[in-house]
Amino acid sequence: MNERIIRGRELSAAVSERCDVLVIGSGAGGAVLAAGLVEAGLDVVMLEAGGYHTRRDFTLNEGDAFVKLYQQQGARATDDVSIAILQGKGVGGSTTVNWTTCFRTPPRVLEHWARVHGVEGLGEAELAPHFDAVEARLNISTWPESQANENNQALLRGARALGWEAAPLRRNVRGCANSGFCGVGCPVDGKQGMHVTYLPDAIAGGMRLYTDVEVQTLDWSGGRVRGAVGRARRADGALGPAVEVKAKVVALCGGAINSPALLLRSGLNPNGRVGLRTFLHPVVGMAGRYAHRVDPYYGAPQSIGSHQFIDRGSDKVGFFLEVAPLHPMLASTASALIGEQLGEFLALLPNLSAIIALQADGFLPGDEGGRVSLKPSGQPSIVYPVGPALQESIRESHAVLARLHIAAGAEEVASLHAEPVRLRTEAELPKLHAARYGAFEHAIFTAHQMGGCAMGPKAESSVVRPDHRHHSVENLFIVDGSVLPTSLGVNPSETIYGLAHRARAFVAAAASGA
Amino acid sequence: MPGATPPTRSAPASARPGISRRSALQAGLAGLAVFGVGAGGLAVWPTTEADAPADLLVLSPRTWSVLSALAEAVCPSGGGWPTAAAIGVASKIDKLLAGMDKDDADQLVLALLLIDNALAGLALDGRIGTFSGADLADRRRALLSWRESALPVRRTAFKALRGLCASAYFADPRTEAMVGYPGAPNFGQADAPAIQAPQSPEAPASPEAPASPPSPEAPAAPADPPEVQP
Repeated sequence: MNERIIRGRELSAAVSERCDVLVIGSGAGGAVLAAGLVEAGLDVVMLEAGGYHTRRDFTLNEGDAFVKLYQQQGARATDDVSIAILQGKGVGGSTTVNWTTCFRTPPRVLEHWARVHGVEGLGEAELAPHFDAVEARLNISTWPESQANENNQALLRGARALGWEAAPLRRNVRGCANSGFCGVGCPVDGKQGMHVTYLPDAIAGGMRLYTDVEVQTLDWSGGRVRGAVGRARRADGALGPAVEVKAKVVALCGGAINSPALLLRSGLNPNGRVGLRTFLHPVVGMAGRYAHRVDPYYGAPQSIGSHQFIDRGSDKVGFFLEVAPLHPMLASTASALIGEQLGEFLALLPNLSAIIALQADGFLPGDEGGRVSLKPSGQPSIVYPVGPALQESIRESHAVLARLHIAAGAEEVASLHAEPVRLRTEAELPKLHAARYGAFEHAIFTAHQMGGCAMGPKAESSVVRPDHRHHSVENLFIVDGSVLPTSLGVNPSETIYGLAHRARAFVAAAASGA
Repeated sequence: MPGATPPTRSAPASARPGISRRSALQAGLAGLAVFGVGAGGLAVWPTTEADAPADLLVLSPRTWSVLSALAEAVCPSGGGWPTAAAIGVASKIDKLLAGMDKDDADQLVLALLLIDNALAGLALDGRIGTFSGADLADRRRALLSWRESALPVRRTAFKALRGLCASAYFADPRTEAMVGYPGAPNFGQADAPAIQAPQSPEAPASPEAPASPPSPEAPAAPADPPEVQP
């Protein structure tokens, strides 16, 4: 056992630590930040609520993986359960279980942040060196089109037949076995998640990583934070010893949903903005049944994408297109069928393809997304209304998804409505237009959680400054997806890597000067 | 940070408006008590109890029996499908509930009691008797009425409980053959070291020569897995 990896579940006595920087959370933000701080010679302690798992622990069984590697054992959802929330938990956070798709932040999004939200310093050129650095470390590069699995080829074939843009995606992999099990933990460490890259870098450089430690509150007063107080979680689920860390600087990197929840538990919400403007890229999907085998569970989960419909005008929500891998458990949750109908649907699995549309929320005037608050237990409560603008984009998404499958050669297309809308030709599209759209009408997922601690220049309308520093607690930084002022219209992991790489200098300067 | 005003501590979270509120499910379930199906009404018509295991963590024998009846209705049966009981769906969910946030677990247990309640069944579905005592076809009809209900709380309860049952069932390898799911090849990861060493950024990149996806007939061995030093 590496002595710098301390498993909270094995602690027998309370722990008290001191350091230069306390990093809370080991995902895309915390890991990239911590590795840079260690490189700068700072003494770093990291607290992670989830467990430490390596490929040795990845059984590739969905039931086992979701319990170990996802928030709330995979059962995280909006309070009304209308939107299922897939979010990683454990060392590496969501990077341990994501599908590896990487995009730099689109210039149009950076321009929107500057123009509408007043965020300066995040221009394309200013971010470029940070993206260059993380792309080199994580080996982010384009996956060859020839290696796209049939699930992704359906999207590519459909888009080309319709004359729509579609292109191979970039992935953070090295030695990828093209297995298709990214979502349950890569069995060969081909995925360059934080658990095999920046975290081992940081630990090798001296960082102490405490796992299974749930931070309960930040210890702060008078505009300064002194550290944080947490409790270890034992293997049997009971709370274990207290873990207290005092630090010159605290970096909160728990991700959207958990970071705002910790601020709220700590009573740190001076302007009432914490938890507001939470965005989810709400995902809807459509199943296509093909005469040939698709084997949608094998091969790189996502390797083709399309942004044909990301810009639908200034009064409409745009969306982008990718595919979802279909393993049995995830496929079963995408449907609302029961009994024999459910069995008949799952029995088609080898011949199914699932193309998805991800809604780019947060760009229209008045689109405030959802809200994170607290349940009586202190755990996050998530409310996300699916309003008329989203309903319209979801309706249009369904027509697009059906057309893609039909153009790609599907024998039949079925929506994920409670009673699926089925069609075989474009002439039947009016059936989809006549269907109902919104919460509970059909499956809605999210694998991208953003916002809740928005970045901006003004204390009255945001939580942190553009340098990630909290508006009113001078030695508190937030470095994760919660700082995004809107969603992105692309998969968010690389944006978070890049922002965290940029934030290294700000946090290091604060710790060195504190 | 010049000019910054030190913040004052917010009131304890549970005392603040908008945070102390009950979740949608809890509020909705409480709302059903207006129909006279509160705690007192739940015992009017006894649950039809199956033989519950002795080592339940969260569920009582009664709620385990309701969940078993519900799982049988959600999961496929006949035609070669293993039964929900054979897969042990209710007991698997009992273990999940033990690891859940207590608020959420409590609400799911309450939802089970309300689904089984005879008075609620009569008022909302026209069903005579408890859910657990109904035959399979009637239980499925009742579940579909919850799925399509105008009451948001019933749709929430349906979605939450259906999702748990379907997940527990289809994550079990004993259902894979019926799904046509070949499962995961053996990548030898069980023999990997317990501690992850850093991977060198100078190691050969993969996209030049990625392995083909495994085929269901003959799962491919992975491309050379990276060296991992203990």
